[in-house]
Amino acid sequence: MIVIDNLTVAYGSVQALTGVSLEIGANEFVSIIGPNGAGKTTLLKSISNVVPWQSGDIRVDGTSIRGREGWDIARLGISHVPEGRRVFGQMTVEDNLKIGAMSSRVDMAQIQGIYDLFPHLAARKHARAITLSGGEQQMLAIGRALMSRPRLLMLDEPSMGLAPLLVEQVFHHIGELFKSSSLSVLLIEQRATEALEASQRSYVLEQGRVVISGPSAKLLNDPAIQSSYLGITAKG
Amino acid sequence: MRAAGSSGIRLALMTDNNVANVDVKAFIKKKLTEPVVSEQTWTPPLADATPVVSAVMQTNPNVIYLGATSTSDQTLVIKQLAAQGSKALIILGASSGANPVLLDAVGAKGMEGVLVVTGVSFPGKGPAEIDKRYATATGRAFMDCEAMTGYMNITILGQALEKAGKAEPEALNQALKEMDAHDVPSLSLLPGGSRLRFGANGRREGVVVELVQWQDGRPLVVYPPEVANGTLKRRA
Amino acid sequence: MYALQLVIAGLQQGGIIALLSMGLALMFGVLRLVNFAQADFMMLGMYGVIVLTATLHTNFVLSSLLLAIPAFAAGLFVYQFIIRQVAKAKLASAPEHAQLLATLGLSLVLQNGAEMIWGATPRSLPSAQELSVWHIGKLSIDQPRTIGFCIAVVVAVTMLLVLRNTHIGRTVRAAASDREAAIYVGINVRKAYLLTFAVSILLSVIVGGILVSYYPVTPQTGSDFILLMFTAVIMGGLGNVMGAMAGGLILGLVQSLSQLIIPLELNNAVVFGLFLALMLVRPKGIFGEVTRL
Repeated sequence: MIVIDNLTVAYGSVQALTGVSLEIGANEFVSIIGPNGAGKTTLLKSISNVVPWQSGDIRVDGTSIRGREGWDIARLGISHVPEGRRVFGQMTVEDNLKIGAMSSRVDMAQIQGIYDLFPHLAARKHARAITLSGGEQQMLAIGRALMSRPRLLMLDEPSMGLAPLLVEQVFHHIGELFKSSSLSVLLIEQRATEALEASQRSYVLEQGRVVISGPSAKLLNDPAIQSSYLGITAKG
Repeated sequence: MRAAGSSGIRLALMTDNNVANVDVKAFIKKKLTEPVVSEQTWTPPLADATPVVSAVMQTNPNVIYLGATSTSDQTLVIKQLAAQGSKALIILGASSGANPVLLDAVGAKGMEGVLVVTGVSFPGKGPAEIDKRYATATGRAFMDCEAMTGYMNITILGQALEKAGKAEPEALNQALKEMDAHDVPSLSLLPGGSRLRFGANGRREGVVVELVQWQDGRPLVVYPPEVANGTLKRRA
Repeated sequence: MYALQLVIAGLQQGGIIALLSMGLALMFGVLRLVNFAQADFMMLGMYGVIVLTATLHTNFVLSSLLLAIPAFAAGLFVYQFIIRQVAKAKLASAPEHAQLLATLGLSLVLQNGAEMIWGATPRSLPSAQELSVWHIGKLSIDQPRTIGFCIAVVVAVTMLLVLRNTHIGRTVRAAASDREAAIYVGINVRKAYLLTFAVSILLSVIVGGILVSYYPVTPQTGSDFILLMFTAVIMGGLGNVMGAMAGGLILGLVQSLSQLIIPLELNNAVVFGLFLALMLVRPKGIFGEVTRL
């Protein structure tokens, strides 16, 4: 549903992405791994059109999104869960979800659906989002993104700053979500093992370029990837 | 209430902290045999006159000297005094107190009986000719104090400049000090008998003040008798 | 009794400052914009109500309501064609600086423009001449100020309800809280900013309508209020609308009650002295410097 074609992005003189091409099909789970500063977040921001790109193109359902306003991207069915969660801290959990619906008419059954998915949120629905734990905030950020009934869910480092147990929980939720719907998922992670295990296909980004891509299962067994990203060194 | 002194005058001083009021108040206190019942000084502009008027009304004055220089302060205090049921004679120590704009703000009922001490002459038998010219030119009933002082200042300066023969501060200063003007036409706007003459200390000499009293929505000159077109009315 | 009289006067005055400050806080909270012209829009509102009341032979409440439409439009215009353009033009080291200077310039234009049109002599509403007071025992309660206070409360509560309970209110709060995250959930932040600016101008103009029912207006009337407004906003915590409301009420009360113990001449000194002391103890204001709408 989304095709990125030879995309180049620079912040002033700093080259963030150079000739990146990738695609995500309908109901596909794609992950992008790579070290800090590889340009992963920039890639998501380019798709959400909050950073301008210099050359190349991004097409959604065959139509370029060049020149579209950032807030219009969400209406194409692309939902972005940003790095660091960025929930609206002074608003209640429920208001955060309502705002995600992008409409003045909020379907309460849909909100109930999110609560069923993340029971922790239901218990704290009237609490201000800033009072939630990191894990709960991540659930809320995902829940908020789901409220717009997206076709593509983009997740930027959902594990960041979470305790290991919570990381496992978050990945479990994402996996369940993918399996139970026709959603496509684009996951960005530094935790390469979890990302590769969860996704169907993966790209490895280094210094703004795609260096390796292929089915996740294959990459998981690739010795080069294992030594660079998975912390596994070939034994004797 | 028991009268404070033999004359029965219970004077309250209500002034802003304009430096001119310092001398006025000292002079009043020196001349008056009775103690001043209340003295309130504020930094203009007043946002609300209720507190200051409430404080004064507690002392039950029958004469109020109001040394307010701005129209908005005059308006707020006079209205608030009436609102709190004051029957005291108000003596307004500012020429602007006889301006039509104060009448617009307070109304004829509120202004009734208010006495204004002024250094310029309002239309009694005095400056009729200039007022007629002013009325023809502007369509307004009579000159307010700003128009009068502005006009006088310029004509006086004009004459001093001509006498000095050059636009140098020292020479101009000297010319003003030596001035003894009878023939500047605008000086008919000074209260009857006034001459424009400055003493050794640079202060004006031979000043005659004029008293104007608001009666039925008109500012009537009640003193000095030569130019008076009304008679002083005591408040009920 | 005297103290009670002062409390009433303080609340009435504080209510006006509170509503004015809420507009300022809303604008800062959402747009991060310090608007020096905020009180001058109030001044325009005062003149506007005088003109409308005279031409339509109506009362000040109706005139204020009618004025809401052009006030809102003026807000849209100023944001779209001045504030936004200045930020885009990269005229200063940061867009906020350029915008701040633009609002200062706007303030000068509005004050001098008003002086060109209406002159420097104070103007009043004819109905302001009426001396209407309720007497309760020894208390005298000024009617127009009380009506003004009630309108201020209704407007303030309405604004808070709209911000909390409507979709449009939530989008404004979200845009204020995190601009980028708001874009990700499909909020047109530019529209939210535009709307916020216009509403906050509208609030100022409505306060002008209330104020002119008992306070004479000159082109400089705004300057008498702007300092108090900023003080109230900072006291409450920058960008905190509820805080600004509390700050305004506290200011009014302090101004009024201070004369029980300190000469009236110094009442502003008390206000700003208290303000300085507060800044030493709580530099982020009573309720903290969070954008909280």
